[in-house]
Amino acid sequence: MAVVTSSRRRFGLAAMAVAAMLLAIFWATRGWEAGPPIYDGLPLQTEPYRYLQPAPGQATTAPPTSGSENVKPSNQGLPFIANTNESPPQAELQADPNAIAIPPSVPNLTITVTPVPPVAPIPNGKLDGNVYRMAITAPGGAPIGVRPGGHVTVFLRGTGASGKTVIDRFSAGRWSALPTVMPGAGFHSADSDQLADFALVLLPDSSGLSGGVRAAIAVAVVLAVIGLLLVAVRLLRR
Amino acid sequence: MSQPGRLARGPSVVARRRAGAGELLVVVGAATVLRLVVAGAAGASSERGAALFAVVLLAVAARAGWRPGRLRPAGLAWGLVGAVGLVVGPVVLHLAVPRQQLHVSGHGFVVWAVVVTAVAVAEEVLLRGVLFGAVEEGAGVTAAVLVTTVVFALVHVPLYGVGALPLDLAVGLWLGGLRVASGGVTAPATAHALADLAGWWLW
Repeated sequence: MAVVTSSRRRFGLAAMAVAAMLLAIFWATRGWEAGPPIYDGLPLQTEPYRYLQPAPGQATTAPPTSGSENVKPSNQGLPFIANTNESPPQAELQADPNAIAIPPSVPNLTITVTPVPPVAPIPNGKLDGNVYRMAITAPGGAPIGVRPGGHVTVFLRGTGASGKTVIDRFSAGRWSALPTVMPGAGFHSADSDQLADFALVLLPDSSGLSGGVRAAIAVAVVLAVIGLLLVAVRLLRR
Repeated sequence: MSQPGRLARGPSVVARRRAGAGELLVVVGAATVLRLVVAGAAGASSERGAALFAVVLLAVAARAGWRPGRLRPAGLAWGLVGAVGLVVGPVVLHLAVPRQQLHVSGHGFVVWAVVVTAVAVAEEVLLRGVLFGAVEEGAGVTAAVLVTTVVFALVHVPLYGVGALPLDLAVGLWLGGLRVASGGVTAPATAHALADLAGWWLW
């Protein structure tokens, strides 16, 4: 290890201090959505995707699971969470209790995540996995909705197919795409102001390249341009 | 007009270092593409793609003259501090926000851990070892920290998308500062590997 002068150490520590502040801001404001804690992009082992309706010729898989949680309306201020039981889960619903329109007399709630057949064809692409019905109900089965201005967060795991994906929601008799992010490799999430049926959809792509490969090519081009500029500087200074 | 003897003999050390930095950036980009192409549909979860990525980075580092030195306790100690800084946020979230465990068994842990460690160390050796040295020699330590931070964040975009860019910029800055403060690549490599491994329990 090289000898470190005091000025270099101060500079290094200052950089770390700035980075620590940025990290604190990201984790405090965005929670798990700030990014993956695995910084090198190697997710954990995942079991093969379980299809509710395997496509013709597709290998038969174990049936997909459902998830169900019974919670108190306050839930001690913690988010409502229900997910399926695959490893890792294929679908999950998260909701802030304050975002749910809970009638005052309801003693407890049931949160369910259930794979269901698609109620209508997906218009904007190809279904990537199962459709999941996400619901919150009162005892007796009465549905409970999202408070105006509130939202729930839906997580769906993809099948591993290449291409750009988006989470669709079926409401008011039609499928519509939701703004979708990818909080972890293979996982997609979207905020929704309704509880409904949700599906991960593989959008049509004429390039044949996955989003990751296209992004990698873009990064390579950026790095190559920077690298060529550095080489050009060297040549000009000769 | 006469030229200084140094230039008359050919490119200076600084100029050659700059060319080396440029070439390194091209290679890092190519290695990133190669990783995703080899991974195919598995994407970031491909251990084969990740392992190949690590091998390419280490080979490039070796070709650029990097050789492993002796591990020093001070570097490891700095690395432990660095790892704590990287995982404290996820640990607090893990304790405060209930979240399902995505891994229910230890199946595959050993292979996963080896590949994760190899990728982390390889990235640090090439980025904050070889590239950092090349940029610092030509443009100073501040430029070295900034360039390696940006490159570190960019190579993760294909894996996690643009959404992870702010976090990886902060992580890159943290590791760059650790590199400068500790005086070597052992500390960021240790911190990086430990933080990645912690993902087994935190994610």
